[in-house]
Amino acid sequence: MSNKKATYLVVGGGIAGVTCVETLSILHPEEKLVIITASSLVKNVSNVSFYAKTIVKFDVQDTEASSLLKIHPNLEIIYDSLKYLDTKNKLATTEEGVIIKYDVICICTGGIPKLISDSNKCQRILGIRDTESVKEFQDKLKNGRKMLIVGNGGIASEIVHATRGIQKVWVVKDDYISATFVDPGAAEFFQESFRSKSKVQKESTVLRRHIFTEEDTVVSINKNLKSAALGPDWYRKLENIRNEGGDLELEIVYKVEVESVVETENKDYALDVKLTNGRIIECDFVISATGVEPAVNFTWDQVPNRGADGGLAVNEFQETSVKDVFAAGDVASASWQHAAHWFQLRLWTQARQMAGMAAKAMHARMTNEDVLQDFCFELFTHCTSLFGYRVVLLGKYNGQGLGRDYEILLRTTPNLEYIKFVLQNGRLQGVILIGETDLEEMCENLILDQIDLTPFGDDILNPDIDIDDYFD
Amino acid sequence: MSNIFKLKLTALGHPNPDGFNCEDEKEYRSVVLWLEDQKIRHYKIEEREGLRNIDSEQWKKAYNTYQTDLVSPVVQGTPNEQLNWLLCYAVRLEYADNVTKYKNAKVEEPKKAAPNVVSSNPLDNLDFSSPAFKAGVERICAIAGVGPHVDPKFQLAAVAKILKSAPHPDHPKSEVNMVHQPTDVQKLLFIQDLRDLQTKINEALVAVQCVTADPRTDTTLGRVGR
Amino acid sequence: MVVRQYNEELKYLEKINPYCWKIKKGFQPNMNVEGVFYVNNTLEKLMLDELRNSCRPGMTGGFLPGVKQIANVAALPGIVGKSVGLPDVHSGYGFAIGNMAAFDTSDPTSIVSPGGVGFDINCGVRLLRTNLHEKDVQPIKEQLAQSLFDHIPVGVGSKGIIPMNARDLEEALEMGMDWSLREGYVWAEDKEHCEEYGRMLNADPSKVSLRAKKRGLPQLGTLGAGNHYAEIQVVDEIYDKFAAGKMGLERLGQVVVMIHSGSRGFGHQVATDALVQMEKAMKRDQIAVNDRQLACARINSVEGQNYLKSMAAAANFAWVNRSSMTFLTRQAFGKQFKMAPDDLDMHVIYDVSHNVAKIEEHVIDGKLKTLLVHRKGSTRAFPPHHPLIPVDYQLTGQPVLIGGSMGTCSYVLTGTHQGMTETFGSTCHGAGRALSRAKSRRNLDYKEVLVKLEEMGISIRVASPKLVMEEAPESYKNVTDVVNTCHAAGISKKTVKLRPIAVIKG
Repeated sequence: MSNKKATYLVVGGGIAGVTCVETLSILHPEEKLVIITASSLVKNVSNVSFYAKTIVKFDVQDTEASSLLKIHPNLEIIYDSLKYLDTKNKLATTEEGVIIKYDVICICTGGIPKLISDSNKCQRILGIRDTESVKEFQDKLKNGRKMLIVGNGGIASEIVHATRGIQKVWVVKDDYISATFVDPGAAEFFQESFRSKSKVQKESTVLRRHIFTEEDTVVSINKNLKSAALGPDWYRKLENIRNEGGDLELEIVYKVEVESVVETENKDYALDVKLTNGRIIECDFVISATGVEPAVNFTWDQVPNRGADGGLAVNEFQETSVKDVFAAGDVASASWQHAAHWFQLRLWTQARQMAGMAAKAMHARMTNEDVLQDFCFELFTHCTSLFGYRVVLLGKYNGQGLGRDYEILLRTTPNLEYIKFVLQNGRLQGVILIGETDLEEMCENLILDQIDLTPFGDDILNPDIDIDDYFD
Repeated sequence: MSNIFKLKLTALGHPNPDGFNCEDEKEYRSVVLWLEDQKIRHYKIEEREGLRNIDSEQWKKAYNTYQTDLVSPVVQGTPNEQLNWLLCYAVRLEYADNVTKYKNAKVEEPKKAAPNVVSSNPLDNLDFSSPAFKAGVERICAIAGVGPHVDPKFQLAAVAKILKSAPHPDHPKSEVNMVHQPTDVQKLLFIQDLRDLQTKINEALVAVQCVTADPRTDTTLGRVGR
Repeated sequence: MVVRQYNEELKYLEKINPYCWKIKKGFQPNMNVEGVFYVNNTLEKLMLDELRNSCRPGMTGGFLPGVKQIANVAALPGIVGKSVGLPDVHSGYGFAIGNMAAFDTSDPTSIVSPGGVGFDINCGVRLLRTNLHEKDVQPIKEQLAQSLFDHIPVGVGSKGIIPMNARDLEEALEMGMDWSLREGYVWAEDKEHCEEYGRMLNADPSKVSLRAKKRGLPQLGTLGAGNHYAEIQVVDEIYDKFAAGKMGLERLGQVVVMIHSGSRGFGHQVATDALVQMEKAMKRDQIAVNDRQLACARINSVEGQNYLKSMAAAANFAWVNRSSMTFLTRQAFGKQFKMAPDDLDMHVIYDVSHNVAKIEEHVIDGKLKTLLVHRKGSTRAFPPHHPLIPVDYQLTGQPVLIGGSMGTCSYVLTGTHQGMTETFGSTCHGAGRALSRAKSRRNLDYKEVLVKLEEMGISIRVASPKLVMEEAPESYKNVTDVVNTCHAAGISKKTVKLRPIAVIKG
């Protein structure tokens, strides 16, 4: 039993926790900071590039937590999990009994993957979200012949894209792929590039991710790793793993969900998966990539208010209903009055933004300064790579919340670019940009400015007109 | 802080400014007494008794009264702040006693980070009585239509006035060059004055920067940022 | 809107000399003054092609050609002299980019228009010299580029831009480069080589909306602006040895650094806020304009003054950005060459503003007048001996920095007396758009995509080219053509040509 004191306490070594530490290392390195992380590996953001004010692309890697000591002179890392939080006396107790007295705390415990209902009883259903399950997944991939992928988000898309040498059945509840990220039109654009086999894969990016060693595994197991989310490029790990068996094969089943999963014996494949359309698919394992739920795996003296999604409700400064308790990342539920073109989606981008905001607000609390909410919460942005294309999503890119009262203006060049403008009353509400369009900053400004684009008509995307500096 | 004390004590002619240790209670008290005895002399000699008993328990009380009597703004401050004010006060008194003497004192120039543009004004070294100067002025005056005068400097001033108000008078071609030359010289001189002024402004800015700059921007420390 | 055939339109245009065309009154309705634009043969063809295409049937709406925009500006209340199109003119919001126009402040109906300044207020260029030679830099240019804007501070004692909080921003908006100077980011000498000494004194942060301030506040470890970049360049050609010498550019191969930055999102918000206010003011004061994008307000109205004060704050913000980049640049060079930046002679040669409106004095018809000069995509270019240019350039004229588009050549020019009388001391700002013909040529195919989208029941429009490929006008204006035109027309003088060896995106 040991007692510690710290001005700042950060719980969780995911993207939010690490961002929080990094931000505080810039803002307030003089003050003692403690991070509690279950794993000796933490997330590290690198290669940050700004396409515009709020549009940021970055890579995420696993890195030794100890590397954080290099950026923060007064940091202490505790490899443990939070067990109990006494918010009245500002005492945090870990599983191993360490008690930390803090001034402000930021909860960054992340999320856990949602699993389909049968997952509890079957080892062959994998929830893909954390590093451990990827490792497991890799092993299965070596032995498996056929897998079933459930989910229509970025991770499911990436698995489908990245796996080779195994038969895949992708079960999608919508009638198009990648609902979370892209629209049916963009999905079609991607399908097209699937079909055109001639498409040369872009240069194979070197995987900078930490290579797991046995030691890491031991630490992880001992600490009962709670959650560690994946980076946007994690699937590259899978790219080189090939099965010796049959051809690549992908089947996509639309508008269907999984009804039940039965383990079989003495059959070719270990699982029988029954779909809602009555079809039964045999396979070796099932990948469930259906999103995450906020994870709070500790107890409190007083539980802060929860948001509608079960996350910790936070205000625009990432503070929960309990004073001096902040939360950021997947565990938080954005409960302030959202700006017109922002909404919460549990993405790395937002985990990073929230954690940066939390750190600023915590610093402001300690120094009695005023702080403004960061401008990134004025506009939903997400920048990722899908199927080798840069994908930038801005604002209400799928007409979210606009009902049917909007127009779409489109430009697409097969295998090159897909540009979709969502317009309402002649004003830009959201954008999907796929490919190297160089329109990121202009689109960001047009959404934020709400300039009336009616006079330009369709010409705003006329391929003969170079629009990028018109609004300079 | 001790460096400032040293400077001021030296200025005031304290016998041992280098050895003074402000953290030493006894030395501190004797410096206060020295200041009152030698420099400030606010009290009559007999009233200084309280301050003189530097070993007494009552000294602190006397010191506080003393400061209150002097209307020190830092009675509530730390001992160092209090002493600093006393020293400043003593320096002020010393200065006021000998204004004329100190006014002409030259302050040693601080080392400048700004480039020093060395310039010399050729006019400073001009011999106004030389025949060459007189002849030159006569020539310009003839062209500019300035009448004769015994003092060529007067004539030059007149030429300057004419050139300022009508910089481009029409002249026969042969004379253009002769008029342009002096205006060009004037422009160059003006530019040089301006350069000097700008350099002085820059030096002032650099001096201010030494005080105002965020230490984290100081590249000379070998690293930037925290 | 007047609809005329192309040959009808041409009757309003007159070539007055090999480099200059006049736009006569009547080309657009209600023109108060004539327009003028500067072109050489190549640029002339681009200009006229653009006009010809807009005259074709079915080409209404969309974007106005540059000439039309220049003429619409000539119809604004209070404009004096001419509406001037510089050689790099191309269409922009309201005013064309590369259009300058001056308004008489003594005329109570004179206006100020955010469209005449642009959204990226005080977007501009700064040039730093070094005493290095190309061969010193070539081997390590990658490392230099890496370290230049690697401003996410990582590691104890690492470099980086110091975080700016709301209070810092407020001060920076008011003080401009004086703020950078006070905080120690720049050298005292930098200030004197900056247009307006890097600070517009009429800036009033209290006139700037909270949203603009939030939009301007830098993300941690970044500069406030969005896009910015720097180029490491070398002196490629010296045209005017004396002027180049005054700038400290002595020999071919000498390395310089060109910094491009502006106010970006912050400027956008200031302009947008003003446009909204001005639409109301126009109704109230019954100001009529040819194009809704030319929203404006009387200079002396509350809206006009508020805009000028917040525009000045945005201009100050841009100078702070360029100063921060100067700081990072000096640091990166100092680190790579293990020398102090002043030993590398890294002085600011000059800093120009492209998008700004300023009060200036000019002689019109022999009378000295106080004017509000809008320069959008246009650079101030004052002649020798002008009181507002730095003492070091009194004999050469003001340096004018012309950035090419990323990766092409850049130029340094100087201001001339002719430019002062003809174009209110203004010249071009850079290349036209940085896009090649190839980029516009796309193979559009919507069929399958549309089928998928249509199921959503949303109205869908598709962008398609209106012209067939062979007819589509080339929109790119080569920086060399642009600069040569300015030189030949006499509105500024070529001094030095710079060639990039590395581009560093921020």
